[in-house]
Amino acid sequence: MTFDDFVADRLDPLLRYATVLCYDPHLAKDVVQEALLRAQQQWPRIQVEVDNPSAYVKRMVTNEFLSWRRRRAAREVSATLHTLDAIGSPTDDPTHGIAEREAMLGRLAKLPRKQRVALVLRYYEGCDDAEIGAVLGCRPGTVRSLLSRGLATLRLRATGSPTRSLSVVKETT
Amino acid sequence: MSDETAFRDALAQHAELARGREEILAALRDPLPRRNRKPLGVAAAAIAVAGAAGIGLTALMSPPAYAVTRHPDGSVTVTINDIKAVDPANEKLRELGVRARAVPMTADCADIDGTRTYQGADWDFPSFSGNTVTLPARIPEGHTVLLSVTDLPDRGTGLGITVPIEDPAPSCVLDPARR
Repeated sequence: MTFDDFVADRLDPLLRYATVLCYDPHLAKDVVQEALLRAQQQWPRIQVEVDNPSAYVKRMVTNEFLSWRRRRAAREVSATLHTLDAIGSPTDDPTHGIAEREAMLGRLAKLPRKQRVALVLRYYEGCDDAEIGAVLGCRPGTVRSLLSRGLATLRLRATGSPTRSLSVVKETT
Repeated sequence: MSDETAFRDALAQHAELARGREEILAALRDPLPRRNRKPLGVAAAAIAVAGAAGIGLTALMSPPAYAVTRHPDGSVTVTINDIKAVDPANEKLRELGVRARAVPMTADCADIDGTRTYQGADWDFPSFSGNTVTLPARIPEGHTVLLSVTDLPDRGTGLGITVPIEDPAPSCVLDPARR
């Protein structure tokens, strides 16, 4: 697969993943761009040596997010929280579902980054503990701990094993 | 609906805010040496500021307090770097006929009345990055989008935005931490 083919296939899913991870579409764009520019430089090696380039580049995006400069991150959280706190819904929402979702995402944005990554990989990408551990470079037990602490902060109850249905829907729309 | 399902839905919906695809493709087509590269969002904001203020590149080191730029598609980019620039920025927005107003974020402002917020879909969500917001061409008549600017301690920087609010628009926005 050429790098162009890879980008054509994976850019949109990577952007959506980073958007959930960063919580800011503009920061997500910068994170994905940085990761892809590095992947482009390394593509001859990635193509030959890496079994799963998609997973490898997703890990690059994750690492870019985890290492993003603190100054930039502070601005990101500030801007997004201002926006979320101040904004209402553009559509009628008598059940207050949107407000509830925004509140959940607001709490997610305040979590430590590795917890955010673990939760996004589980609940957005449908990854299991081993897959999350592969991205984060830690053991499944550590992943479970990250998820448990993250869920406790979000005050969500985990009701079952990860599903992949959302990933499938997401990638085909 | 379980909490977990709601969380999954929230993540999936937030993912649809993804943007910047074309800019990334452009960067990949023409990658600059790493040392000269800066995030596109920052670069775009700097260009908008320079264009609006009619200044040369050498002046980019100290950006102006504000800039308001109308684009050919009718959208308007607003940058406010200093809360003192709220009045001149509003003057420019009025001059351009943009239904938006910059207001200070304060600790004692009344909260936004939810019954006065626009509930329709006849507008596009603004895009934002740091101190810059790009407003859509369509903002419903009789409504105003508020751009909140803060100099409160520990609130960082960045413009806050609201959905369109029925006129007359409030003159301030409550600091969310005081809700």
